[in-house]
Amino acid sequence: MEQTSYSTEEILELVKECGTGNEKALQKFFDHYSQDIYNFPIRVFHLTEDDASDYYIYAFERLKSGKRFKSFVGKSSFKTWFFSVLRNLLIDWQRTKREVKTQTVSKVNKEGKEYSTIEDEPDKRADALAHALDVSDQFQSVLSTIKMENRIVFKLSFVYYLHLDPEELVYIAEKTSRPEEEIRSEILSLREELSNREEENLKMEDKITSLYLNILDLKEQKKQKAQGDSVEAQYYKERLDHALAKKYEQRKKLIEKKQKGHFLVRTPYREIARILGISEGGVSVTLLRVLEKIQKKMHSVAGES
Amino acid sequence: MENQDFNAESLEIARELFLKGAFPGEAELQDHPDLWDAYWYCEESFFAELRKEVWKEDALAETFLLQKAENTVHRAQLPFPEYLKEYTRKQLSAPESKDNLIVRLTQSGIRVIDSLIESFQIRETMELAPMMRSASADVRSENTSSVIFEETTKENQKFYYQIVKENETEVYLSVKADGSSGFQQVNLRRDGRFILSNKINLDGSASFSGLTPGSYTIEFVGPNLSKSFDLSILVG
Repeated sequence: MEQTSYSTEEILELVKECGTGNEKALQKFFDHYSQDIYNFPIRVFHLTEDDASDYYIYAFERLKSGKRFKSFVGKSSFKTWFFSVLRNLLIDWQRTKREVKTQTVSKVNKEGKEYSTIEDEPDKRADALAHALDVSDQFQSVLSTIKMENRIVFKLSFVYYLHLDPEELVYIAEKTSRPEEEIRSEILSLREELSNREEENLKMEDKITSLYLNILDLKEQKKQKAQGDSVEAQYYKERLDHALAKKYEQRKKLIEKKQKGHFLVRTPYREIARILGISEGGVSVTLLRVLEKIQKKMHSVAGES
Repeated sequence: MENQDFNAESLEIARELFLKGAFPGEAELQDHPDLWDAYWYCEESFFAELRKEVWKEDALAETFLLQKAENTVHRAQLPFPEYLKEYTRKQLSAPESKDNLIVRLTQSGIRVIDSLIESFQIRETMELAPMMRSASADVRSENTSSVIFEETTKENQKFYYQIVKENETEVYLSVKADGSSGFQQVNLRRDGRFILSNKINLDGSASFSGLTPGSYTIEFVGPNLSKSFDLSILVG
């Protein structure tokens, strides 16, 4: 995105012009907001960069005529309107998505036989993703079977990722004899605070991915430079092996941290206690019980399947 | 999500352990040294799923989502890819793309973007149409990749399109009309201008090589009949 910043009046004028199909205005709009459109599914829905590119093309094609801009009449802020449009486009785009999207590289050796490398093992990857989805579905269905007051504690603990349902909000309001609107705005400001920590987490995730790309690059270099018995090849082999080992170690440590849940943003107990009007000890005990129950239930679901 | 160094069996064991909330034991690790990798993969996938938004249509969920967008979209933004800038620049004045298939050549292969297709069915297929170039038998470079997809029209006529990545910026295109279609030649237009024409051979196919990024219209022509298909090639 270009770093020009527009005043509210300028944005209103630009959007109004876009609504008439004015090509220059549309050009200006996309110069300014393309990067936001591209980053929206990455930051909000954690989609991959490839999926974000597909989404961008879809959104761009649907926006470029300018017709959709007519729905902005200035009732809400431009940002709220814009993200709401991007959200609706993302729902439409998800509906058009087909199951298979990529064909991975077939590598062929000198004898003409196909082989695969760490980068391209499509069957295993598809299986792994299907398994991950199974786990996620099971988790969601198990969560819905937990008693509401306990489920609320669990959801509040991971409120950055798990949304409260409207009936859960009503339940908190009734239990604490406070207006729903007040609870709602407390949760919104809590999520805003947590988003700062999520940003750090995303950076850590990016670091894991970039280490992985470094490893692939080093492997490629090793293939090219460290073949044979020459002194030069041996020198490269030693250096590259050392660098590879170091990168693997760094990545392993980060993944270990992630495994322990360090990359997930959790709400401090005191905040949950404050919202629900209970003690921090009460939050801690309930949370432990819920986690135990979820594990047991997931275990039995896994057993059944 | 990254690919990992573990086999399907380890993944299956890791998944069961993860669902039980248990960890790999010494004995299991001896039989499957890659079990920790597989276990971490399960956890990573799970956390990634947890982060994904679940679609809910209620107003509260939308409020949460819009707030998250306002908080996160402008922070540590990823750069906007050059090929998308190029696409935006070129396509802005073109009519809204409907029924245009986009093929993107990436470093790791070919990616098919079919979300702009509305009025007919298209699917990727692994079945090689007869007499079309085989992706693996005719490979000259280690980086070749290919994709085949079939189009089924409302009249239930099938067309096959095969794209083989010849190098970083060029593709080979082979097309085929299924059955006794009556088509005699295939014309190729780029950005609306006629560039090439090839006769359909006895098996119903025609091919073109050295196609560079751009917007193409593939037109099957026969006596009193024609059928066209829009295809864009992007590199990035």
